[in-house]
Amino acid sequence: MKQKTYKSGSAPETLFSSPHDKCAKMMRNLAILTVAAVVIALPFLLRRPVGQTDWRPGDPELVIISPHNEAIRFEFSRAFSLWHKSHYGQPVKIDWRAVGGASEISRYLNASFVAAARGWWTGRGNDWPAGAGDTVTHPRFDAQHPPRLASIEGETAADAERRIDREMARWEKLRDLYQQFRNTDDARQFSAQIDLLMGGGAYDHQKAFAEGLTVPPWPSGAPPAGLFTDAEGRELLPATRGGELWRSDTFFSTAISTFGICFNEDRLRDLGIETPPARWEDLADPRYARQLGVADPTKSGSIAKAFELIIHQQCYIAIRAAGFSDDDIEHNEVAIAQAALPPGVMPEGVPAAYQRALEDGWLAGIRLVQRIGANGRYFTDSASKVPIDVSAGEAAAGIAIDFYSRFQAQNALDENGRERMGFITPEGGSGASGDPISLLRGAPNREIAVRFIEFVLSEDGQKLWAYKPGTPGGPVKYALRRIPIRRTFFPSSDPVIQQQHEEHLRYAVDNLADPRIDPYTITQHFTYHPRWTAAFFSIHSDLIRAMCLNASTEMKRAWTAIIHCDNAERKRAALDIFTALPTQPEPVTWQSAPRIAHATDRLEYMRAWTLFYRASYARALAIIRAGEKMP
Amino acid sequence: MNCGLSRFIFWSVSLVFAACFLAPLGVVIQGGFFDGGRFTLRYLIGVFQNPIYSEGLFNSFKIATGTTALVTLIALPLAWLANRYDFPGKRWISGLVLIPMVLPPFVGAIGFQQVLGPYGGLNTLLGLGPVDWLGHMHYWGVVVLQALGLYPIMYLNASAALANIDPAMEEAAANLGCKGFTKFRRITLPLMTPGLFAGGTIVFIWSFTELGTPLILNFTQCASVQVFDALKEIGNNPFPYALVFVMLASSVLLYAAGKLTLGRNAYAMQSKAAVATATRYARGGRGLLVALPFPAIIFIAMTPHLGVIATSFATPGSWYQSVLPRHFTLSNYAEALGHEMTIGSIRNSLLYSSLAVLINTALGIAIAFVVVRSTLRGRGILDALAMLPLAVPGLVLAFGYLAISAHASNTDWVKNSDAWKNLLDVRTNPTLFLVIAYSMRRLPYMVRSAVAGLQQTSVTLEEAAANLGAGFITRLRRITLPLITANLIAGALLAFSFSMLEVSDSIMLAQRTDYYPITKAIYELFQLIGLGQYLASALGVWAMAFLAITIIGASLLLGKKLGALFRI
Repeated sequence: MKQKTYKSGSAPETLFSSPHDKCAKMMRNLAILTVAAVVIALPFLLRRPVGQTDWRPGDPELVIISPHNEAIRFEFSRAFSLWHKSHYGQPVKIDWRAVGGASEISRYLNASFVAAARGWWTGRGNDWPAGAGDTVTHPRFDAQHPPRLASIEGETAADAERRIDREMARWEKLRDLYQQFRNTDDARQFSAQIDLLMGGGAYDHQKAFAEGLTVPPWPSGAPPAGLFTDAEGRELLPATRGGELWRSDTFFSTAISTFGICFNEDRLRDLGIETPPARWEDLADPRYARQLGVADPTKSGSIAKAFELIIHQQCYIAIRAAGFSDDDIEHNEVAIAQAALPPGVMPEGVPAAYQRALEDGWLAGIRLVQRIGANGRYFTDSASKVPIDVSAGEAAAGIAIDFYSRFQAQNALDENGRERMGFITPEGGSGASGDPISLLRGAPNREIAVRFIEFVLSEDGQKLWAYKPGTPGGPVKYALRRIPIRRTFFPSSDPVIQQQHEEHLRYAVDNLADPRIDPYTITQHFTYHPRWTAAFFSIHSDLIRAMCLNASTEMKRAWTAIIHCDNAERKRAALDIFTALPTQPEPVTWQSAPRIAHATDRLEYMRAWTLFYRASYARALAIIRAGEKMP
Repeated sequence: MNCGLSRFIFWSVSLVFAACFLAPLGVVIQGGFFDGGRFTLRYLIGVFQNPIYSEGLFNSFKIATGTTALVTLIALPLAWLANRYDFPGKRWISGLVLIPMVLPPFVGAIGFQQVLGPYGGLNTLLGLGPVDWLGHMHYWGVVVLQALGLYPIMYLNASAALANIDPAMEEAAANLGCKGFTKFRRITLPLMTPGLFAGGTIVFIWSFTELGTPLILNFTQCASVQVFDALKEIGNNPFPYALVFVMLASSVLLYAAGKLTLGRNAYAMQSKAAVATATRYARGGRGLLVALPFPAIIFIAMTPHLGVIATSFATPGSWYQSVLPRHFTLSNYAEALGHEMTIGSIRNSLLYSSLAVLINTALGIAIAFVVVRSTLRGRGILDALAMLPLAVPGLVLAFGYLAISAHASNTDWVKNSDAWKNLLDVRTNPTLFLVIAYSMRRLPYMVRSAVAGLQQTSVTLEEAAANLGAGFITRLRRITLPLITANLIAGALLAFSFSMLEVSDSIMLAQRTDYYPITKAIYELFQLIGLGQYLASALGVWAMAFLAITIIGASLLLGKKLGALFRI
């Protein structure tokens, strides 16, 4: 066989292995084993001693589900255990449950509660009717009014009666289940085996509450003394601020986030943009085409909030442009709220022009978002990706949450220590949203959980967000760089608060006196009017999804053509079609939008909108192209 | 194989598969078929009525076709070269060829970005200015990147197939005057069909449902990304479940179609390759020519890996507008490997993955036996079903396991017993569910490898043993398994490597630090703002190094059979 005709030096090992080959082989095997040993040994060699804990089995435990990262979990675990020991004599171990981001947590909690309710309900001898899983946590189940049932065409009267009786019996079972579930908060009955939900946006916590998953830690109006107001009645944790809800009976914001624009200075220069963006409108500049990092509002409650604020600001601008002052707005909104008329109907004394300006502003807001979306390089599922990409120059600018950007900027310094990434909060364009904590129904360690809420909201807990590592009362390992919510951390004309603020300022990482950081100043320049945009929260996201994501290819093609078109007339005609709002299944306006948001067939709307936008973009492109072909 | 025994194996395997895979899948998928407790086909029909979803399915199909074609173009010549020639450095190179498939999750995207981004290494090296490579590649970008990540699967299967070919066949052909490409086309290629089919179907279904690459390149109009998008949505949306069902059904149909056209003509050889194929030693210029394709392909395919490695050694923020990071540091490693969750996560991952591979091997052999050696009626269905796990998005299966665990842990007998809690309640201990999840997700590799091995091995060898009085177990142990060891090891290596890198199940099922596998530890490090990508890269590189050593080490240290596989 050919195989055997090797020349010397390349003898096949199997037949003629010389001692030399054997030795080489052994050396090789040894080398492999050594490398393997080194790789495996590395983590052991680098292992740091685990922090000493005096927690022993039998001491209290607490279970928290949270999207917060390891740094936050580590610092709060350590500090709370110490705090608890000094106040109640025992250390506490926190068992953090991490199952992913806010949307995974929401799904997980819902499924856990349904499973717990099912075990409890069937364990007591009840059956589990079809659809019970959806009903238990349904945000809008009407337990007061039985459904109206009518006979179906072609059904005999007797059949119809039997069917309606059956349906009625099922509804009654569902109602009993629903009511008993929502009236029970006892770990011995049922429990998801989790005490607290911490982190995510206010939206996620409101949703959990609507699903019946969270309960008030204290009887309404009876929080521990000194927590919400001090002994002299100074408000330390306001319930609302600038129109934003910071706490309710069930959820309590522990930190504040604002939204803004992060940008890469080098990329801007390369694109020929001299001045960094300062307002949301700047992001609609065609020079940013395919350069913006944007997160998908249907996946992140906080990004959906950012988009809402962009639209909200356009409403404000339009109303001011129509000649109404801030006082007029205040006055009109109070009158409208008191009159409680159907949406869009103005009480006496409020000019129709006011409402018209609001509706025009809303439209302008949607169009602004559309143009920002058209400049988008992508719509990512994770809000933290945007500042990472911007700092790497992957995107020129993006919409981002403040603390992500501050962190990323700090970790992307150039040779001279210059931050190449900037971050601004557009003036009047961002409110201050809370990052809440809620107590879950049937919490197994309820008492400890309530203490934890108290701790996080107290001075001691709040220091962890803002202080430098190693400072007295601060974190020991990680700077968390989140903005606390407690009033005492920020400048005030009240000398008592101002004095506490100055004390905090000495140890804080960020300059808490900076008006762009201080949420109490930010909210002075920004008043959130829920009437303008709050009911549109989900519809904005769905519209953006249809407009910018589902029709993205067509959109980018049309947008590029429009940007590069020299003929003003055609450009305007194409833009008109490009920015038109869907007319199918019904025209989308400020008035119709909230109704659509509660439509049962949201997915059908999305489909119709997507088709609408694809067709519009194709038409806009055709208009520009038709011109190109002409001589 | 006797009928009673094959029936017993068939039913027990089906039962295990139904309980561990179909049940959790069904629990989730039913969300697309019920509306207020009532069965409905509205959503399923809606998938086809909605042009976005049909377009997404079509794009996924296009991606899969393109990727499979490109993978074959890359892997087949490499496997053939490695089978025919010896050349300098071959030992190392043929192990290295497999490394591109071990790209750790999350940080892979960072690797791409650092190399291909506007201010990345490539643009700086070529002095191109801020060209946005990743922003403008869509369909072709996805196909090329996927092919570069998936060709090792095809290479492994093709190599195993070539190793199994009895050189006597080709020698006989040569004696009859059939030479060169004709010999390859008429003799070699048909004989290796089972291996090609095995590799091809895995690559096809994988790329049909692959999520990561289209996400990195922002190619959102394909079915996998649409499912992911809808699953991550805040509101409840039944469409992803209906869409998953359609993806599953199309995968099975495509698989069946492939099997009818390609997989039917499997030629078993009278004798397995008792002697290794004659390899020619290529040296000098010829050796270089033969060897060159290997490092070239490996280097291109390792672009993201090299990006991750460089990131892991970079001082944060220092790799920017430069070919490589400007400042290097070891502190990322000190921090990531020294983190208190790291060692535990390594131990957990090894445990979960090894157990999963054991289960995989047993199930894979059993299924392959039924499929190849029995004449039972349902065997074709079992064969197709075993491919399903490839087509199920990880998130969907993870939701399913969570739901089952949540249901079980709320029964009284689990609530009141620590032992049961440890087994069935993922909140207490996720080991069982993670092992099941890993083994189910990676079952297709093992089944395909084992089936391919059995198909190429003539049943007459087992019959001869039976004639000499050997019982079933003896035959299995002394004849069949040794004959298909190469295939089994190929499958096990794939299953082990990918189990170590498994993402969705790990993130959702391992909820407590004590039970984190290494992928979740990487995820947790990645979440640390600012430093996250550097620490995650460091741990990712460790995982890569570990898997690389496992693969190369296995190819060098294990006995002759694996040697045959890698032509060493």
